[in-house]
Amino acid sequence: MRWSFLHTPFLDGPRPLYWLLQLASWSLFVGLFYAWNFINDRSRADVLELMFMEVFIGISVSHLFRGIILRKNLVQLDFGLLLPRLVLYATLLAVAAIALELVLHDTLLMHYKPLHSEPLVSHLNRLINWGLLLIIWAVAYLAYCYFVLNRREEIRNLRLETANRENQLNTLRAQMNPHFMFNALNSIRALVDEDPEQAKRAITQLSAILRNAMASVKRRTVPLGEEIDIVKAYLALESMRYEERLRTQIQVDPAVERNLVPPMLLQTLVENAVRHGIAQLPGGGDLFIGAAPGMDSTVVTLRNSGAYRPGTGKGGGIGLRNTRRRLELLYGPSAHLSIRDDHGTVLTEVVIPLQERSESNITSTSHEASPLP
Amino acid sequence: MNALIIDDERLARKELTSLLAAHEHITIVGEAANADEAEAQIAEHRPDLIFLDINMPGRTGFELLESLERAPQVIFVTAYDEHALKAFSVNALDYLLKPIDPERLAAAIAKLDEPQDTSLPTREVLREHDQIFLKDSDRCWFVTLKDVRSFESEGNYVRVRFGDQKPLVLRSLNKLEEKLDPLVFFRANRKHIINLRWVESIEPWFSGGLMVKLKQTGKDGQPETIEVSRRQAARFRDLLSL
Repeated sequence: MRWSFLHTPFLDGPRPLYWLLQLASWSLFVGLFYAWNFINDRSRADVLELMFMEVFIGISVSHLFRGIILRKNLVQLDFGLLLPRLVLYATLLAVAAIALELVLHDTLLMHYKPLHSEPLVSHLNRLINWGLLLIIWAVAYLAYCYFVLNRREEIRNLRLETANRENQLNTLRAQMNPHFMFNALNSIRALVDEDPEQAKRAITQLSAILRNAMASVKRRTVPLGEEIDIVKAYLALESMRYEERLRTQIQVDPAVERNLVPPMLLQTLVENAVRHGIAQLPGGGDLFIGAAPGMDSTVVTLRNSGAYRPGTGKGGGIGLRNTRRRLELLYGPSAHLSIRDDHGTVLTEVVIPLQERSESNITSTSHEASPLP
Repeated sequence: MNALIIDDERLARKELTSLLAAHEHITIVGEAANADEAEAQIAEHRPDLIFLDINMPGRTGFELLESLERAPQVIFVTAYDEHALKAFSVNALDYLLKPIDPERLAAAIAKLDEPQDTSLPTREVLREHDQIFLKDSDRCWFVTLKDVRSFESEGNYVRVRFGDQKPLVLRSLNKLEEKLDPLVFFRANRKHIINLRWVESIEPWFSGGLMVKLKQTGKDGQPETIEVSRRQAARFRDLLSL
């Protein structure tokens, strides 16, 4: 945040608007100051060079102040820490200002009474004047910074919220699998006449799948047993559609039923196997699903008839890529997913570690995290 | 009207059959579970109408249509397929979404054309009123042959010109010539077949050839012109003098 702030285009490089405001405000101030002195009969009217000089010094010194504010990142400081720093920098810059004034005045404007011959009290007076002026300038500049930052933060928050929502929506849409859903509903419509009992069962199974898809958006992990139940409901519905073309076998070691796995992961893979494998074969095919304990992990195996053709599906392997990404985010490199052809079947293997990666690991690789101060 | 149902799911076919029971003038002459079966059934029953599922094992519904010489009237049926829906919406083809709404089905049936001369059991040539299915990448069309002005060979492909469209499809011009009604479609030269109904004027051309102007102006305001080679010019004169 700190460094990104420094490199924001709006505050980083000097802008035309900034220079215009600087010129206008300093000219106005110096003009009013001299006009006031003239009215009070304390100075002469022909002091145009003096006024130019003061405007020049004002702009230079305050621009220096701006550089310090940005470089030292004063915008991010609390008020208690900010105030002493402001006073310190303002004093230093005020000294610089009167020094500059002295040099410029006495070398360029020789026809005026030289400043160095003035009494000390006059120098002190000018020091305080410059200091106060610079503090006021800094407060105005900081106020402007706060305004811009605040607005930018608001926009960023809105964007983040939209992205989050979009992501949830996409996940949900992908998990609903509309093609499957509408085909299932169509089959149920036919079943209502043919076999009302099975139609009722199918509606219950479809509800379970829908409920699970919706709930899974919010859950990090679920017990494998639950996933298997949903997969069974899904396969029952697909069997209703494909009938004898889909032959399934499920073998789950009871030892791994309580192991935690990412939600919808197994189902996504099973859907893939049915849709890209078995559904493409006019004669249908077999699907085997197995789960067994591995080294500190759960090993899930799928084997389906067909051939693995990466990237030929309409999704272009997006589902698979997402699954790999989810595994990576949750478990890091110890998770593993492979798909390959094996003796005329497609073999899918997933290794899901028992332990999620620790929170600190997640933030250090996440793009959203802010760099340390 | 004879109809064929093509869907890989038995229950989906059954559902459509029961929905069609309400439409007495539609007779279901067969069912097919994939493109190969469908091709055989179409050859056997010559249906006026097919209900076609896009997603099927083996060849898709689109691929089946591309392989047919003469496309029957088609009502697409799909559960959810973004690619197909895009293709449909581009050309306003009729499609039904599963589960099928009986009213939408009735509306789609009402829009169908009456079948032409069903009395002829086997027609080997493609007549003017026959329609063909064309697919060029994402887009697809059903075109009645009388609307086609010309076919132009481009390598292994044929460019078909009708309306303001000119899709490029994988066909052979020679095969096409054999199938097209010779009274309507004429092989003007090595590269072109023209529809005689679209001829506006004919002028003598170099070395005994002819230049045919079609009743259609291109985007540049110039009428489409096609040269009739000297070899074909004599046949062309004969044909027109009939």
